Amino acid sequence: MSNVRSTGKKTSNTLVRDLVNVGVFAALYIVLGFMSSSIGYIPALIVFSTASIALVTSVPMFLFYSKIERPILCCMLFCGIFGGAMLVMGQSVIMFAISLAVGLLSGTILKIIGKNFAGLYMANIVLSLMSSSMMLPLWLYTEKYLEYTRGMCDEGYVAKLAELSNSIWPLVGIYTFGILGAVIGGLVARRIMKKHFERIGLAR
Amino acid sequence: MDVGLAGTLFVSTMMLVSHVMPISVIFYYVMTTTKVNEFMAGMSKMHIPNKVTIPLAVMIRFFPTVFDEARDIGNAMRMRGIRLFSLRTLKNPLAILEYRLIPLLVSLTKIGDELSVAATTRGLSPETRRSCIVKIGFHVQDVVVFVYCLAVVVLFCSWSVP
Repeated sequence: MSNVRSTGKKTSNTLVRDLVNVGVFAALYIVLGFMSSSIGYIPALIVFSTASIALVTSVPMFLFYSKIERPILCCMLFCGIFGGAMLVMGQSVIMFAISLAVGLLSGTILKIIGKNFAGLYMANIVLSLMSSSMMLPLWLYTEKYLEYTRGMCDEGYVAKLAELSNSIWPLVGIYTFGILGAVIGGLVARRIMKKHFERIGLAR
Repeated sequence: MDVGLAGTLFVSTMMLVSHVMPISVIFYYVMTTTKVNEFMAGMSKMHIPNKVTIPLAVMIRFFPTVFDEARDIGNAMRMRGIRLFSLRTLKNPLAILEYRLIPLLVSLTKIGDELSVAATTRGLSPETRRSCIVKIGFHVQDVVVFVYCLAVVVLFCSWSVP
């Protein structure tokens, strides 16, 4: 039986471990992302929520990147699961497409540069674009989004959102702060990796 | 209507609750009633590749684990005076990230490694087709529920978008 032989190979074992790791870190990423993005419900702090997501999640992402063996497949699956979860919770299809593209890009970066600090750092910065794209519908479909929000929010919040959506600069700010959070978070994550994970043998 | 910052905060929290509540109820129901075994059998009946099914199944199994571990670590850290607004975390805000996140990550990766070893021992592999003793199919009751949900969506769309 060819099936039995293929399960006995070493490659298949690492593939199962990779897939399990994708599931574990996807669950962790969704939980941490929701917790750290909750400061965005104050309208003035919307711009900073992406920075806080990128800052908090960069530590688990560094661990995730250093544990996987097949970067492109794992990153695509990870981002696809996150995008699918966002799709179920009411984001647009564009979010799903963006997350797949981000997964492909960060996986390719990891594959080309390798699993050293530079590769992990750049892949983490690229991944922060995914969580930053959650606010994109406000600028892409301004009228629809405001109409949708008006049904359930008070006027002050909608007015603030409309004020935000008038200019392109808040969008630039959201992406800039997301990247900035990933840049700082990457440095923090490097220190934490050295201090904790490499010592107990979780990462190389 | 101007209600100030606190009012806006309250209203948007209520909005969040009223909006996320139905999704969370469905989510909780699906998570607590779906067995991982039956989920994987159903997915393989739908011809979805195992490479997609295994992470999803692990994710479903891991949501309760994440919260359990986080609560346990939170209790342990409370004994040491590390809470969200305690004196020690106000002095050093990154400490809460370090003291709460690192133990969570370590224990979750350990559980994940054990899970993958157990799965490999039981012969879980992306290439092989797994068998399941539970009969899973798409019957009359499923069709009825499916048509009902579709009708609700169509009615909602035809009313709200004239």
